[in-house]
Amino acid sequence: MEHVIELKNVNKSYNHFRVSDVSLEVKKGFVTGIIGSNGAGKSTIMRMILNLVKPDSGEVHVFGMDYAKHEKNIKDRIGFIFSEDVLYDELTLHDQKKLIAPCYSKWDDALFHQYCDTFELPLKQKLKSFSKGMKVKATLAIALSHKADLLVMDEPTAGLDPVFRREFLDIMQDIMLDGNKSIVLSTHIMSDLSTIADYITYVQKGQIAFSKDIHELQENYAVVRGGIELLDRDTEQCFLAIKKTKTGFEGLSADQNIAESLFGNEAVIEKASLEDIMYYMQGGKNVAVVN
Amino acid sequence: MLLLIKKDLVIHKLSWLLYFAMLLFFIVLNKDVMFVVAIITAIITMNTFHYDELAHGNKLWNSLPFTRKEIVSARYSTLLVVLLMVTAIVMTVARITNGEWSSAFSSLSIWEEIIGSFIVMMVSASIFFPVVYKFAQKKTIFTFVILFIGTAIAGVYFIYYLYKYLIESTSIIQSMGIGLYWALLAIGSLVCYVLSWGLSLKIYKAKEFL
Repeated sequence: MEHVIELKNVNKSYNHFRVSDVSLEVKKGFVTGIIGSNGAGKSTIMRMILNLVKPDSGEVHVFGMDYAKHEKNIKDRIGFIFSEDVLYDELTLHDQKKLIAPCYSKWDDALFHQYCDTFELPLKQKLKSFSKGMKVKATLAIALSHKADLLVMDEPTAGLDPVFRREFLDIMQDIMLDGNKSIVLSTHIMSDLSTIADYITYVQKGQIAFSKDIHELQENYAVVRGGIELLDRDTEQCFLAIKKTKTGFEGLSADQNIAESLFGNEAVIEKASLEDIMYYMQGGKNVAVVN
Repeated sequence: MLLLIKKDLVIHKLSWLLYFAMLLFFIVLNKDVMFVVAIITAIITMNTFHYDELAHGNKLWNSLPFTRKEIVSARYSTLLVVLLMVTAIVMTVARITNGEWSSAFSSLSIWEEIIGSFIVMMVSASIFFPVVYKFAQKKTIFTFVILFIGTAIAGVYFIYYLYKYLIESTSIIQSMGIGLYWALLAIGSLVCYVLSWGLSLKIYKAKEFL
């Protein structure tokens, strides 16, 4: 399968934080969600994908090319959205478009106007009068109007209300109907991903904990709840993380079938949501991460 | 790179009217050509950095199909473009006022004043551009704006008083000739500018856009 992004053994160190030995492959034609708690390293990875941050070591390839030799070619094919505004407040959307459009080789002005109509964006109004949601839509309209093959979105829905988030996700689903586009999206809002992501990469403390097909996660991962007497050295091996109280336990298992065969009807076994997975993997309050 | 130069000019939008009003204001005050060209160019140049910082412009333009080399080179080129534009306007106004508007340092011709303004701005930019690329952030950029404008003004008076001192207290300028004096200063400032350009490139290539 063709990969639009490949990170190989990438390392990046800061004073109090490091991204260690990250290897990641983002498949063409799919939505890959990068999840993790705040400060886990998602944004650093996204910035390395966009060459805004350079790794200390390791390789970053986008569309099979590296930035050292093909920076302009790569960026010509990428659309981006950041959580913060990157547009000039004093300019109108029309002015901003006039600055950005000539930068791309495949800019489609008709498509841009079509998106502006769809998103109900006023072209002649200064961007400082736009709401946060409108600014994200404006960035999205720009990102989509140059027919980008890859959309890189770093927390695009951060700070947005649930109505707009749903609308945003609908737009993403429409984009993916194309079949040739790929999206890599970082977020810590799990509900955003469960509807659109095909693959999930979980970043924890600067490392990739796992990178899996979302259906595999949803099918196999389970939360098990039961009495404390059910736990022993053998049954604990079934869990990635366990939260114990005096009388009971809750645990995350990566294999629902094994959990069911071990505990049968003696424990409550439910499919784990992405949020559950993140909570347990992160080692939330009183949760012990096994191994 | 032309797109980036165009961007550096366009983002000022209506501020251009304010710059023009300031230019006329200084002319009405009968300020010297060197002072007017230098201060207006300094304001425009640092406002470009200011607007970019406010809009996370570095993040935007580095995500668009440009190299870091092009982004830095465009900024150095924009300064020269702005200097030429402001000089052209000032020269036009000087012609309209029929040459009555002249230097307070009457010994300087208008051409010397213009060369002086180029020298001041190129040396000021040589110092500040790498510093701004290295240290400026959204919260601190305004401080750099003020410092740069202050340095440009100080540079203008330094050029004036250096000239005055050399003319009145030494025979250096007389012996080498006025033309060679300005040529040497211009070449010196150009060398500074080129070195600064290279340093800024090095700084900017290593910069991280968080």
